[in-house]
Parts: sequence; structure tokens; C-alpha cells
Amino acid sequence: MSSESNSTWTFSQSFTASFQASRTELHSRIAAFAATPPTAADVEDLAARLAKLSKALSDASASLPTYDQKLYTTQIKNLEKDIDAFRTAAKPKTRFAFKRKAPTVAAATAPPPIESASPLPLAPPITSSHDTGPGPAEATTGTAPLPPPDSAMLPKGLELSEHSHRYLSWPDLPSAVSPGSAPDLAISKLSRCIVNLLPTTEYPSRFSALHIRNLSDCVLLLPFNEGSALIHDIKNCVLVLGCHQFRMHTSTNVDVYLRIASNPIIETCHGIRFATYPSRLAPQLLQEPPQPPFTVQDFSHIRATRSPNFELVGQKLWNETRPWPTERISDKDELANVLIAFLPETTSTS
Amino acid sequence: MGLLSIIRKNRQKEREMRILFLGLDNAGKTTILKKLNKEDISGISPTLGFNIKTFVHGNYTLNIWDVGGQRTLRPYWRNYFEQTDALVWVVDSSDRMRMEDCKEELHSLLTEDRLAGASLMIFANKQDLPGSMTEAQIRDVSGHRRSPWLGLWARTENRIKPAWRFSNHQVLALQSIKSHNWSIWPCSAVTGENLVTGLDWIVNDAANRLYYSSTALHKAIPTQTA
Repeated sequence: MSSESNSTWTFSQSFTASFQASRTELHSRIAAFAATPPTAADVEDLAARLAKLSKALSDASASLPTYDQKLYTTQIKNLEKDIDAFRTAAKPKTRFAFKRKAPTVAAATAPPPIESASPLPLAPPITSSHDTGPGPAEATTGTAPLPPPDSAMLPKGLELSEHSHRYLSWPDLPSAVSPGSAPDLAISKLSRCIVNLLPTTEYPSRFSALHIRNLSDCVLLLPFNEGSALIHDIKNCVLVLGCHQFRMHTSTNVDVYLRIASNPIIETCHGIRFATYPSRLAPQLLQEPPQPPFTVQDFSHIRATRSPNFELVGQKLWNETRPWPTERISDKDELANVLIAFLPETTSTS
Repeated sequence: MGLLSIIRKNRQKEREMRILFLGLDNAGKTTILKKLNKEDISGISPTLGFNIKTFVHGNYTLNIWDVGGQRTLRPYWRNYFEQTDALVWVVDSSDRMRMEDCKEELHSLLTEDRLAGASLMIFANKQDLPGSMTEAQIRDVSGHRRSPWLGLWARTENRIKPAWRFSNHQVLALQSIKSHNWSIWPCSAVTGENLVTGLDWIVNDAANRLYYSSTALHKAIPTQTA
């Protein structure tokens, strides 16, 4: 017992020494940069050192006295603040503070009236055959045999797939959308397309779930949707949408104009810029109270430091003045020009 | 109140059950839990880490662990396996493109030693969406002797649902699961449809295993008093 506490004591002694040594070193480095602003690489280096230090602290926290733990944690936080200050000094454009909010931020917003959707009559559940014997499946199979389902006649959710160099809008959806319904929509395998599914007087619909996959060089204009948006593998695109939840995976160079009440997340993404939904595309926004700014979470960068994979650009992305392509464009050259003007890769290099 | 009933009451207090909610991201695990707990479901963000909910359901206190399903978090699922009495696998029935992924993740969980014996319930969530697959389509379809029948059943029971392509296509291959007692429930976290009934099933199934003697007793009591 005593030998154990003894070893803890020795450990905490030696840890304190090494921790304070590396902390002072880091501190003096930061102080040195006060005169000459550090380059981005310097800042990254500092951040990496700090991350190492903070990791060492969390590893050791089990064997440290509470007071010491608290002290060291505040010291690390102060260093973090200093490094963050360098970052903001280097990039004064960003307006948002990247604080991780408490998870209950959005609780104040009113729930959408989705509860009124009439529940479908749901079939009885099927349990595993080895504990119930013949399941209800067999019990209900006495009906006259039908021909095997033909994949061509089976309606799925709405799907917009395999197009290139086109302007796509409501009439291009495979089946008519009945007004007032909120079908789920899958958009996949498009390249160099503009998709405009903003609500019009003729097509006032919205969507529930959105599944977006494999797009390159596309501009998507979508309405506010009640469901979640799940996005995979898109490159050099512009997405305009409102949704309940937003998840983007394995995508690069995407501008996202978003209206959302929860926190959007990205995972294995790079070069993502977030802005708010342009009110030009939804005039009713001007009458509504502005939504609190969202916090993006990068699941590939779960650390105290800021993720290098995305930035928040607020309303600065020309978002209010841009001539959004809301009218159908049939001319291929004109389409190509509009895409060049909008897509992140072409705009950021010009 | 006799001594026996006091002892029995006391024992009831200890009846706890640990239930693990897993599934791909966007399946609706957190939303289901919040709906079950009658909380607001409008501003739920994707789960970074996990949530724990403890509530009383029937005679049992449920400790429900809801772990985030993003790809980066899936390697951490194993940290939650210990002492799990029941596993709830939540499926986004509208996510046709990732059913294969969903199947693989589920079947790899079922080979885990630490989950051996746990009851398994599959929630085929998002049945409120018009493009969702029915639970019969998700269950198992391929190459199985019973498959044409099951497909048929799906069509006749629920005509408004679009059917899945049945030919040679395994969806979750549930019929091949022999290691766990399982059951699949179509549900909707938005409307609340079938959430409680599904939970009833898994709690009873786990209870029959964990508290065999006392559940048997319990069943006997009403008939005595009636």
C-alpha cells in the first residue's frame, strides 16, 4: 500500500518537473513570436507541441494530485489561447469563435410540426425462427402467388442519378412529386450539373431524407428539408440546403450554404467552407428571426485545436450578391461558364 | 405484506439491465432514445462520443448506452461491450446505399465474445419516410429457401411501400443469425411508432434470461390473485 502511494508520489514529482520544463520552453517560444508574427508552419509546430503536452497530462492525470491537475490544465489552456491568438492574427477574416458548445444549445428551438404525420400501419414484427418456430411470415403466405417483383416497376424514393453537363430541376425527377408530400431524395453520380429543386409555385414540395453521393463539379440548390442530409464522396461542389442534421463524409472542396438547428459534422473531409443559407434563395428567411450560428464538428479532428479541414465564412462568401443560377440554362457553354464561376476550385485559384 | 413480498419488492429494485444502442451514423439512435424519454427531438446533433439514459421501463431499470455511429467512432464500440444484456441495432431503412455496410458492421458485432448471449433487436427505423424499405425487405432475402415467400409477404402486407430488388441480394441476412435471439421491428422515431413495443420485446427477452426464476414467479402471481 505504502509502496504504491510512494511510487505515485515519485511519479508525480518527476512528471511535474518534466511537464513544467516543456511548458516553460513552449511559453518562451510563444513569447519569442510576440515581436515577429509566426508563419503558419510555426503555429502548427507550436500546436503539435502543445497537443503532446496536453496528451502527457491527460495520461498522467490518474496519478496526479487534484490541485496539480487543475493548475496544469489551466496552464495548458492559457497556452492554447496564445496559440489561437496567433492563428486569428494570421487569418483575421474569420468572424466566428470556434468554441465547442454544450450539446444542449439547440434545445430552445421549437420542434417542427412533424408529429402530425399519420403513422403508417406497421406490420407485426418477425422474431428469430429458432425460438418461435414457424414465424408469422409463413402464416401470411397463403395468398395467391404473384410474379416475382420486377425491379423496373418498383418505385423507390426519388432518385436523380447519372447525368452530366445538365441543368436539372423538378421536371427531371423520375416521378411526379405530389404537392405537400415530403419524399426522400437520393442524388448520385452527377458531374458538371446544376440541380435546382428550390420550391416554386408549381412544385412547392420539400424533401425529408437526403442522400447525396458521388458528385463532382456540381451546384445543388435545395430547399429546407425536414429530414437529415447524408453526403458521401463529393468533390468541388456547391451545396445549398436546409436540413435537420448534416453529415458529410470523404469529400473535398465543397462550399456549403446551410440552414440547420443542430451541429453539422464532417468526417474525412478537406477544404470545406460553411456559410449561411442565402436569403435571396428563400425570401421568407428575412421575416424569420436569424438562427444562432452553428458549430461544425470534425470527427476526424477531435481535439481542442481548430480543425484544418473546414472554415466558417459566415455570409462573406458573396452569398447575398451572387447571381444564383435559379433559371434553367440550356446552353452548354453557358452552363460551363456558370459552373466555373461558382465552383470552389475554380474560384479559389482565380 | 408478508416477508416474501418484501423480499421480492426489494429484489425488484435491483433489476437493472444494460442495453447498448448501436448502428451506422444517421440511423436515429439518439432520436429514438429521446423520443422514448419524451424529450424534444428537433435539435439533435450527430453524437460525438456517447449518451447514457437511465429510465424505468416496466419492472426494470434500463441503462441505455447510445454510442455514436460515425466511422471514426466505430472502433470505440468495443469499449462498451462489457456486461451488455441486450443489443439494439438501429437501421436507417431509407439508406439503401449503405445496407451492405450496415450488414457487415452488424455481423462483425455478432462474432464478439463479449456480446455472446445478449438479446438482439433490430429497429428498422424511419418507416415514416415513403422511400423506406420495409422490415421484411431488410430482414433477409437472398438465396434463402424462404426468400420468395418473404418478398411476397412484404408486397401484400404493405402495398404502399416500394419494394427492394429481391434477386440475389442479401440485405441484412438476419435469417443466418443463430448466435443470438433476435427480432426486427419496423419503427419511426419521429412518430414514435413501435418504439415502446420493441423495447418491451427486448426487455422481456433479456429478463427471461437474466431473471429466469423471478420472471417465472411474476407470471404466476397474476393468475393467483385473479
